[in-house]
Amino acid sequence: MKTNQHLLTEAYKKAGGMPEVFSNREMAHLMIHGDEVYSSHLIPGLDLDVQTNGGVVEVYFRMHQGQVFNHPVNICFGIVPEKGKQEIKVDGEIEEDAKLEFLAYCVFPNAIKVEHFMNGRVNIRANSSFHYTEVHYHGDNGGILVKPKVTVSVGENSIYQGNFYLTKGRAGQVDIDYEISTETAGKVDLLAKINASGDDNVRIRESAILKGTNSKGLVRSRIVGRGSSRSEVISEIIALNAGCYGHVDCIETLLEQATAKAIPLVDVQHRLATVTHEAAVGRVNKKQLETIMAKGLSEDEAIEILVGGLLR
Amino acid sequence: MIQPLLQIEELCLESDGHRILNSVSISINQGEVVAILGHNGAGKSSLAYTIMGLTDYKPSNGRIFYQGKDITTKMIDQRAKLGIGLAWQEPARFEGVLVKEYLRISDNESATNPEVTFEDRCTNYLKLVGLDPERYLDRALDEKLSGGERKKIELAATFLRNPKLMLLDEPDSGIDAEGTTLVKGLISQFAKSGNSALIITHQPYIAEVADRVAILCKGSIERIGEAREMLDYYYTICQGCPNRFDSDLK
Repeated sequence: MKTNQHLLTEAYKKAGGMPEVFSNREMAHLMIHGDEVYSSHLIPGLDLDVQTNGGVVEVYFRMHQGQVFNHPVNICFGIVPEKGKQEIKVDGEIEEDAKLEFLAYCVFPNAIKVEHFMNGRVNIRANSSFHYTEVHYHGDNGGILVKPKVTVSVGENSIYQGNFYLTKGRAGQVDIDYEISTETAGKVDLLAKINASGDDNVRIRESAILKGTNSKGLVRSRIVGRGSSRSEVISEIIALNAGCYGHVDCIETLLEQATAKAIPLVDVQHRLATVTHEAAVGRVNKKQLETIMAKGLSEDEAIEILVGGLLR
Repeated sequence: MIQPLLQIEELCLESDGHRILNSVSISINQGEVVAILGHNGAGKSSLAYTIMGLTDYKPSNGRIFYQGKDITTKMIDQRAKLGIGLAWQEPARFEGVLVKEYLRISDNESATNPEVTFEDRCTNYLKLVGLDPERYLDRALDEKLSGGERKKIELAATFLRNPKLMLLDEPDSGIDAEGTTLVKGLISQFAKSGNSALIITHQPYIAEVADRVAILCKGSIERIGEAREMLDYYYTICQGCPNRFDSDLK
């Protein structure tokens, strides 16, 4: 009989992860099932402390000053059984002149009644960068609630890039709340790609607060809605200082009976700042569709190519 | 009598109460290149889109016959499968779709030319339109490519499709002079293989590659004939015509 760790690894692989990273001693990793740490490996330059406190997994990490890793830190969070709850609290610090990348797979392959909560706070000090990519796989039942709430402070000349992918299987109930603030010349780049189907309900709030002068923000979302799914995307950029530039870009493509709402919030509080936004909500772009159909593909085939590209 | 590949009879197209095409009749024979020459707004692109069957270009009157069969009510993909291909004047952008994927869905030579691999065909056609395959095949066909680059990729995709009838909407628009020369050569080569092309253009020098030229003015074919004769007429009469500023039919 396969253990939960074995099954979690299989789900990780199905979601696109490469299990060999967990045996590579040059790469840091962390694997947590429910509130149990299955596996972890550290490399010099990164402090990582994981504790369980009343069912809450508390993760603390600190990237040392001047450290740059050639590989991402590989993370797997998940729950294999049909029912369960996972609550993770992350507190991170990236010191000056450091570069860190997390590649996290959040897998819940059999979810019927699963809850996953993430509460994160990350502080990126000056001249550093932190890339956080999370790839979710929630199985085919839609019986899950995923609620990540993350705040990030981006220091002077630093970069935060956050990618959220949920493009295979059902989404379930997703409620994302990210708030990123930047100091002078800081940059934030947020991207969410979600495929919703059945009665999935997706809510995203992504907010970039450009506090320091010359800071930049890009907030993008790509949602494909099928079935009777519902999505609501609130993309917010607040520019508070001179030279700040931001752009909001939201595409929600609707198929079947899916519905969607896009709310771009642009708040410019300095005359030398600029924030632009674009949003397209609704059916597949007609010109794109007809271009593909003019190659001899049916409407359905053409739609799959277009939404496949959008979610890539 | 040889049956034309495409025969259009008294085609009318209206949009928002405006007459775009006014009883257009024209035929294209197998292996023939015909150019539709006219000023901006004459209805040239609308004619190409109506032949391709785009949803906003349903004729209000007239018939379109392809290989003797009435295709007036056929969908875009059905027309494409019959052998009609369109190279757009302003190609669409596709987020996340790679150039090689776009070329793959365009590729129609695997059945007729199986001894050459898909990769070699892509490389060949990209080079023929003046693009370095190594730089482009793995790039997305999105806004990071210039309009000229997307235009050349669209032309490569259309030639790769190898349709029996190729509709080329302003094939030189947005591309450099060197690219234009390459495209003219490709059209000539394409026709020599026995295929046909309908070139939509407002540039007489592009129409030079055609066997026949039709001058479209205010939605109507004003005259049609041998290319040289029509180009002379266009240079001497049409380019000074005040109607070129009043192309909208009411």
